[in-house]
Amino acid sequence: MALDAHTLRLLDTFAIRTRRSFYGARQGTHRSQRRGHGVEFAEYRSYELGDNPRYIDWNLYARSDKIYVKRYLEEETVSVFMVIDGSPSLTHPALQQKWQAAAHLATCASYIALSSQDPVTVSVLGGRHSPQYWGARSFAPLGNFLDAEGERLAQGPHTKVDIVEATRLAATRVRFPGICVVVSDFLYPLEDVVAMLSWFRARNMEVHAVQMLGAQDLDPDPNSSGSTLVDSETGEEIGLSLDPSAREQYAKKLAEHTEAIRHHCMGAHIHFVQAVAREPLAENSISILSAMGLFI
Amino acid sequence: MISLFGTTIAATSPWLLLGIPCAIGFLVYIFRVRGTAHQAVVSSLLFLRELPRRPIGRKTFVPPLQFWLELAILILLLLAVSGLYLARSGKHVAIVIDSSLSMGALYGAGGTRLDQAKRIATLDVERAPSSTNYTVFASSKELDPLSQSRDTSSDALLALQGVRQSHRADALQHHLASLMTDPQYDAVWVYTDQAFANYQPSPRLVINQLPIDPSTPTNAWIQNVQVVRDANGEVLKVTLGYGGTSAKDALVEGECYTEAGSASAKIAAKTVRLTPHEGTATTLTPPRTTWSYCRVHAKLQDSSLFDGLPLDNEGWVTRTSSESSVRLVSSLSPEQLDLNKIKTVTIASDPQQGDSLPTIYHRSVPAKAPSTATLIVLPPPGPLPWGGEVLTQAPKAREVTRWDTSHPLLHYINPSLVTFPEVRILECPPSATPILFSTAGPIACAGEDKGARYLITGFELFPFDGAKNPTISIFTLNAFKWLFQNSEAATTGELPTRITLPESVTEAGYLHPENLKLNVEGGSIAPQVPGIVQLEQEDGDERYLALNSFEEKESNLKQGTPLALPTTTPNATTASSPATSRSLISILALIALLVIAADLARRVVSHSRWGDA
Repeated sequence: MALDAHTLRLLDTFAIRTRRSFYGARQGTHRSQRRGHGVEFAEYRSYELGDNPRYIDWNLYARSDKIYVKRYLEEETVSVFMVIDGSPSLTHPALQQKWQAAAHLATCASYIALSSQDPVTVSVLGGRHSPQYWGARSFAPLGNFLDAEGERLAQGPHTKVDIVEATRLAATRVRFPGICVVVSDFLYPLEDVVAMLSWFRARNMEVHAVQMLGAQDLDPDPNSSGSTLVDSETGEEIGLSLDPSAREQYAKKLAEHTEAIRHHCMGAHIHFVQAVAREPLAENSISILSAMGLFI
Repeated sequence: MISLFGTTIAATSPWLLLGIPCAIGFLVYIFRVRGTAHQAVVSSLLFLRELPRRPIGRKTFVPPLQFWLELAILILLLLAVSGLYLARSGKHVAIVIDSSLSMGALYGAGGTRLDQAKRIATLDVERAPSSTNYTVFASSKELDPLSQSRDTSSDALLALQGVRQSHRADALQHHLASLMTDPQYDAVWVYTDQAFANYQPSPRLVINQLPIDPSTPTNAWIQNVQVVRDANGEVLKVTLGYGGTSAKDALVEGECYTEAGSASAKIAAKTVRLTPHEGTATTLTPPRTTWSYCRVHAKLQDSSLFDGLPLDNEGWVTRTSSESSVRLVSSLSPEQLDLNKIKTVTIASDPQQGDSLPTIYHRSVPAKAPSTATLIVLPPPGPLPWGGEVLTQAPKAREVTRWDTSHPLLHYINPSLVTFPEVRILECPPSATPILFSTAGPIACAGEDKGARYLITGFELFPFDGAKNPTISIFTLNAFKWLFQNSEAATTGELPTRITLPESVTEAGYLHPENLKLNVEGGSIAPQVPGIVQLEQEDGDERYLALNSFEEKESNLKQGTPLALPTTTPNATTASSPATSRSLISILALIALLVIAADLARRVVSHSRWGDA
């Protein structure tokens, strides 16, 4: 998943903005929960035995006759956890535009994170090597990894992925809480979607959910009045007449489902974005990144 | 059964055609209700499953190409399974009239056996259903169709009247075998005097064997009259073939003609005593005046007797065309070459005679392309005047390694048994084909140039030593027969089917029998009856060719060994039997295969993958 120079220049203007502070692994650019020796004042604390006398605020001691030490905010890196749904609903050859858009989005987000030395962990739900950790200088291998995973998943077998279990496995491997970007079509029962997102929230992560839909999801099989519809995950077939009223009902159900997810996300402080996979991918990804509120 | 544009189409299992509407309905159900007309992969059926299922049939069905292809395959296969075939409106009957020499035998007071056969066939045609179609054949040595295929009964009756008496032997058994295997004929009706062993009447093969004339025992059985003149033309040697059971007296008489259209001069008749199973020879003295050709015929002296087959009771001889006369160009005499041992030819007394005679070039080559039958034996090395070349002797070419078994020159011989002491490799002229090969190349070439046959052998044939070297001897006799028997010299034996004329002959026609036309095609004639043929040459000279027919088997009217029926099993026949009609199964299956192939090609070209919309 190579990015062209123009896209990279556009991405260079982005930076990660976290709503919360996290403990980081290394010195970085994000405000950390750790108190230490940064430049930004955080708080006063009563002197305790063992504190370095250098941090005693002597002016305050002169005014109040009490000994306080100054605490400063640390600036550390923040872990970015990219979670991409690798189930057949995204990776099936007939639907692979969704996967390509999701992978491109993940690549762009990872580039932004890696540009500011933030470590990125990529997990493909249902993938073979998941999750994978990528260091600060690992952008090119990350793109190749996503390409390889995409090709492997497209070749099949297209079997149903237990998305909740896959999410649990991915979440349990998180080492540092941080930002979690979940890219999926979320075309699962609502309780499964809730369970999915809950695993990351339980790991104290700032979760961003991107619902990546394809044109087929918005209007399945627009060219046929009667057809056999095949579930990409289960292979189940149903013969259905998708007349305008049926399409309308379908769109209504999809909108209700999306609204339910959005409602849950609002309650759970999860930033939810709905996106449609379109060409060109670069423009599509940048518009999604802008809408996510994660990047400035 | 459906008639369409004059063609009747029928099926062996027509009830299976009901499967066609069923197939259409089934396919429409598959494509519409089951929705296999179009397959689309969706991310999830989560919401689609909850939509109310409405029957697709309520909507307008627009079948895709796949539907039509599958429908075509189904219909084609159903038509094939139902056994569709092109039926005929009526039976197609092959009428075979035996017109061989024996059919010329007298039959009661009403003519010959052939006339009787035609009468019976006429009655059969008149009694048959009017829808029956016929093809009439005359069978002698060859099977000649006398009418167009599938004639009506009136045309067939006309064709029956056109059956002419042949003077050749018959090959009825062989002809029947080919007709019985021909699927276009529903039945074969045969009219012959031949008996067939183990014949069981069946609708497929009807053999009408003419009963032997009850007066046959009183026949005198004169079987042939063979006439040969002496070298000077002063004496005619007459040999009579006789097949009777007791000695009878016969009167041999004849007449001679000086030129075409002249009055005949009677020859003094002679009475001879015919002895059973022996040839009876006598001599006749033609008139002292110069004669050109004579006719000799024999008849029984006892008027109470008669000969059942008068056709074979006459013989013809000419004076100018010395029969079997062959010119020899050699440094050796005919006696040194033992050519006198070969009875079928006579070496011309004057070797300087013109080029019109068939010629044997022994260890020499003609100066120009042969204009008459030519045998060239072991020619000297060098190019041939009409193409080709004789190469030098090849020591390794003494054994024959390969030969053309189909060539009549190589009948009854096994050339691999021969080792030649002297042999030359040949480069055959363009008009010849190699018939014998050694390891170094061809050693014998046979061909025909401007109507004249020729044979070049790169090995020695002479002296002719008969049984001492049977392979070479039989080959030599075959060569003489092939080269010289169809030429002017062929005045005895079987009536030749075709005679190659010398280039100098400009016109040919029958003198006797009169009013019989003779067509000259490609420098050759195809005589139909014995008699005298007049040949007109470029220089204005007229020559005569005597044609005789000696068919021992046909002249013997006693019933011989019955013929065996063809091994083909006669099929039960009905007018609409698919076995005798043109079946369409293979054509339909072929079209179905083509449609399947087109469908596969379409899929390959469109790069369809599973689930592609």
